[in-house]
Amino acid sequence: MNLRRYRALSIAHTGAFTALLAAGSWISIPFVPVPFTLQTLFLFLAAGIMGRYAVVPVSLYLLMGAMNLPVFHSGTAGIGVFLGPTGGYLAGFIPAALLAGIGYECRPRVARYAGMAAGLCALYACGVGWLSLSTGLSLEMALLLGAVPFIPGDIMKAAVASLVTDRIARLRAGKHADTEGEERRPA
Amino acid sequence: MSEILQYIHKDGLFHRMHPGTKIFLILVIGVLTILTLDIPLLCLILLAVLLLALAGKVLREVLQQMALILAMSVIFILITLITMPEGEVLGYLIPGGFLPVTTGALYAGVLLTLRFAILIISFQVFVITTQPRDLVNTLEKAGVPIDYNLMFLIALRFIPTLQIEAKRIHEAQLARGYAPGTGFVGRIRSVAPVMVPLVSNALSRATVLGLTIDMRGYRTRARTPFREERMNLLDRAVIVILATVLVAFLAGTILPHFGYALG
Repeated sequence: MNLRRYRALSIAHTGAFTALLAAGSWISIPFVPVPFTLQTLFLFLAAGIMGRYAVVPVSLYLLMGAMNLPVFHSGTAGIGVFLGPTGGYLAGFIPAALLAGIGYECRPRVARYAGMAAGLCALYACGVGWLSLSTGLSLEMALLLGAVPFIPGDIMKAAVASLVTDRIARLRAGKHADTEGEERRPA
Repeated sequence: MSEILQYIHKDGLFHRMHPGTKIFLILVIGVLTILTLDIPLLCLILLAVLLLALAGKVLREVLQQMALILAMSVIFILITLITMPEGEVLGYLIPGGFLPVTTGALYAGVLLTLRFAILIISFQVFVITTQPRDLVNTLEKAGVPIDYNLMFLIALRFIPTLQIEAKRIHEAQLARGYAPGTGFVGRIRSVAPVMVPLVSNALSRATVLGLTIDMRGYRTRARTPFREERMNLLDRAVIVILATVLVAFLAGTILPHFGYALG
């Protein structure tokens, strides 16, 4: 997406994804009894649809949280959340969105998956690093508490995100066949 | 389901105030809250904020958020109990000597909860009593780039819409006899039927919105506010009172520290 050419569209998409990220920490998806924030899901969705510009809605989301709007997990908000033990994960959203977005701009599937994996690694690196730093846990302990339990869930969310992105890309290609479909067809 | 964080049209104290005054108000409350380490004083600030909400006729809307804040406080207290055990041990969460409940951790947890409650409530009062267009005008005058202003506003407007829509889509799917199955795979499958329409709708809505913004001449960069807000007597009075409170508070908390440092 060209930011200069589609300025108003980028603004509207940014607003939508920021809201989706915020709603992702509230919406309770039925039949999912496990504590499950959908933030990573929407992070990857934003990356899949906006490419590297997914950084903008993610940053705006964090900014809104810092301004005390209750948009973080379970309705928390404020700068205190960034300084708390889980703040690293929030800060890690930004590199994660960037890496996954860059990965998703590439055509081959492998590159997209590699981008998402790199994004997840960046997220865990920030999260675990800050967890260990802020609570004084050893790095292994922080890894065991702060990354390992979330790996299956996050892989699941990444898989769902790529599934949903593909279907939405197909839907949009069908809906706007005269504009986007043309670009997709090899010359 | 009531809409969260949306402007509510009433004729209260805050609705008559200039948005700039309200921003100053929440900034002062924020500074006071962050600098206070005293639980009774924080309770006093919380009470003052609730009284202000009552004066602004939005107390009922604020109290609806209380369940959320209570849930949050339980989480905060649990986190502080686990991560920062300090002071005397009062008891154990798990019988047999695991997870000690300590006075220091309880104190820190209550402190954190009160702070968050005050900040969230004050911000909420601000958002639900300010017309979005006034908010944008004021932020623009304060020097925030209009693009980011607009993104912020759109995001704020989209949050409740999406919540309601997700619920509606889920009900529609149930009405069509959708049964996602159980287990790990069933959970993955249950996400897609709600998420695909939700994200797709949100995106097409955003696309229409983007086109509309363009059609209304957003790129000409020439905007005239529909209604010019001016500071009136009430605003000036509130600003003077707030400035006095802020100065008095800073004098009361910061100066003694310098005094000790010098002495």
